[in-house]
Amino acid sequence: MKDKPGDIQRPIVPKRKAGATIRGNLILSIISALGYSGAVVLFLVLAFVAYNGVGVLSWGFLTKNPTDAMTAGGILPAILGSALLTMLCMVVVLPIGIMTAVFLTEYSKPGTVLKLVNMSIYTLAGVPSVVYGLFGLAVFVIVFKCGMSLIAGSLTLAIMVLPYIISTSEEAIKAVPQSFREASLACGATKLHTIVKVVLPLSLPGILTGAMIGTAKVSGETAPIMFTAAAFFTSGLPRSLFEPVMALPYHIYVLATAGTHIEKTRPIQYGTALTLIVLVLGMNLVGIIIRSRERRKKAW
Amino acid sequence: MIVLMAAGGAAIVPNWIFDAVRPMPAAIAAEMAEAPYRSMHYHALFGVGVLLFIFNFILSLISDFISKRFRKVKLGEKL
Repeated sequence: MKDKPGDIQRPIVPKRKAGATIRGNLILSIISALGYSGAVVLFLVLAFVAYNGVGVLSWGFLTKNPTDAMTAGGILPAILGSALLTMLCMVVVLPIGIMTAVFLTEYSKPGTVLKLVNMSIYTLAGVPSVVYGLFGLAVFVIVFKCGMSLIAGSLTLAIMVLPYIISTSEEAIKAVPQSFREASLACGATKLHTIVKVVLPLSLPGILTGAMIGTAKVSGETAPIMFTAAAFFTSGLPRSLFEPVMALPYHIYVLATAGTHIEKTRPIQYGTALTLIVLVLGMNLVGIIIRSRERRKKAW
Repeated sequence: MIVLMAAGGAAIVPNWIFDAVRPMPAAIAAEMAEAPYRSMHYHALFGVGVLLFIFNFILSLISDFISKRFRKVKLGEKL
């Protein structure tokens, strides 16, 4: 606005925003700093591992066997073993987890049995992974006579990740609105038909997200496979389900604490850690992308 | 497993915060490989596992009790 003759010239004083005080700004900065520090810690860990391990990474590193007492060569059997353990674990746990989630949301009646089942799942989710390793050792390796094998490790990992799959599948199934089920039943479908044809396809993206993040969790676990599946060295793929396999987390542990040529294996240990982090991050990112695309497409 | 590599492996009672300690999961993971089958050492490690489970179970029960007390039940939700 132009100055009109007769206007009083007032001094220009910057106006304060309503509610902004020094104390408010201080608290806001502290909280923001703490919030960003989580991402900063993640980046620091990634940067440290990448700085130490990127010198070893190459195509040969990922596709060759370890040689010379693990001081040279690659980590191919560890990658294959981890992939086999994770895939077999997911094949076992996804049907059981999804069926349990369907039972808990659709078929169960409130009562003591339901409370007991929920309490058991909640407890299982909090048990430390070493106890799962002991359980796998006692039950699968010794009592079921599988020996230290791929199948024992996969079953132990399946039991470990089962509560997570059940809870994420339950959330995905509960997110389907009740009106969809009521509409399907009103059209004359049975309850089983409704679940199989209406509820499960709609909750599939949520279940897939849970499965991807469960896969990422499973591939990074050391303690359950330490006593049940992991071997110090194998070459190539195992010949049967009842043979031990190498695994990436166990390889890192062995190189870091029990190696015989620590100075030479240190870069390989960091390279293995970098491979594992990249794989886990990749799987988590795929899960997050599935979830965000599914959220954007939803019409309810 | 984190504490297995970072907390030092000394099975001692620490005197101040910069001493090495060996938490229960680290003890199991470190010693299981060398315990002879069905020996006293083997059974003792399983006992440590049971103790760990009981600790976690009690904490789980307490947290479940606290969270159930203070939540609001939604319409139609099964308790």
